[in-house]
Amino acid sequence: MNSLVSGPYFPFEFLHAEIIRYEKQREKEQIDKRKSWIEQMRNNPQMEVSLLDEQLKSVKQVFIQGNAETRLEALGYRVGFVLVEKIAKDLPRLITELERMKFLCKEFWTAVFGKQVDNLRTNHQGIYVVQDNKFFILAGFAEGKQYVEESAIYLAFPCGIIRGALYNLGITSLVTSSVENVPAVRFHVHMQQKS
Amino acid sequence: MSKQTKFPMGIDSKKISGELFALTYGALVAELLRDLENPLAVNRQLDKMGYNIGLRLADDLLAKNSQIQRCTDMHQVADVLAKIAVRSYLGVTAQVSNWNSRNDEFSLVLDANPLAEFVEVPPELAQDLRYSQILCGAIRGALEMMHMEVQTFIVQEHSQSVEIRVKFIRILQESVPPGDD
Repeated sequence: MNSLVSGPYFPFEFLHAEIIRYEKQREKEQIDKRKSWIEQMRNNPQMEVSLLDEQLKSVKQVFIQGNAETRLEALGYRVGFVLVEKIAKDLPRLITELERMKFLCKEFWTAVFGKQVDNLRTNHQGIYVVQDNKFFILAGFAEGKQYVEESAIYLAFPCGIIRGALYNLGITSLVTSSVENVPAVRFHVHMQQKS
Repeated sequence: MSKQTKFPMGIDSKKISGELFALTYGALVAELLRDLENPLAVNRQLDKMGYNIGLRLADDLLAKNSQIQRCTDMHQVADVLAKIAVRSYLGVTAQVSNWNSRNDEFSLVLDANPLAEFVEVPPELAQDLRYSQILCGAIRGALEMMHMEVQTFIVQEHSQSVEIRVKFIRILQESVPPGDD
């Protein structure tokens, strides 16, 4: 093992883990707050029941946006949006959708995630599947199926990065991830029709 | 935690540019500012996160740099911080200066601030917000793992440099928690 650090190694994994810890904690606090709020409303006799239900719906809507995954994804979106500009600035113009996806899988992936993707597939109808057999964020996890569930939240941020990068390349998309076997990850990119 | 069950073999993770790190950190600070609505609370949160990172980073540093020996005084600690830790984790060099007469307090001056590379802190926040507070937390956490209690704070920071003051408080003794006998 080449243990001596040659270049700088930015402790991104640690920072990322801390951000996740913060978001999880915040989500928990939000849920508690919501519970106590509902409790309060229930105990308030002047409140009409139908009105309460109406309000609950909108409150639910508000809190869904504060969900840890969503917020991590939004954070990643912001990072990816800026990052792609730095990486793509000297490149010739990418015209087709496929060219942009190839750029994402080669140059962008290498610069940001440290390696190229292992497989890119498409149905030519706006759905792309990007496969990375050793995704760097999961590289420190135990291999196999043991931590598949826990790994989900660690992929919200990278999904956001990909969506942000694509958006800045002119592609509006929806990015989700799936894991069957750590550390292999599949990112599903659904192109959205431009309105 | 499920992490660190085995060390990733490749050098993949090292290639990840500092830009990803800096931008992620920037997005985090912006989010914290929105959430907490108070720069002082943001400083506290950043410090806490840094502390948690420091606790784990100390292990990482010692595992990768077997030449580091046990430090017997603060001068050696300062040397390791400036010459090895800052260089390998942030990619910049640092100077140690302003020792006090009792030799237990010094300033660590980073020649550049990789965290604030793309950042402009708005003037109305510059007074209270310590953008790079996470560094203070990390140093404190890492030294605590080495059984040294220190105080750290940022004296001044710009995008060109950061000055962090480190003050030694005491050696932590290894002890069994009360009631654990």
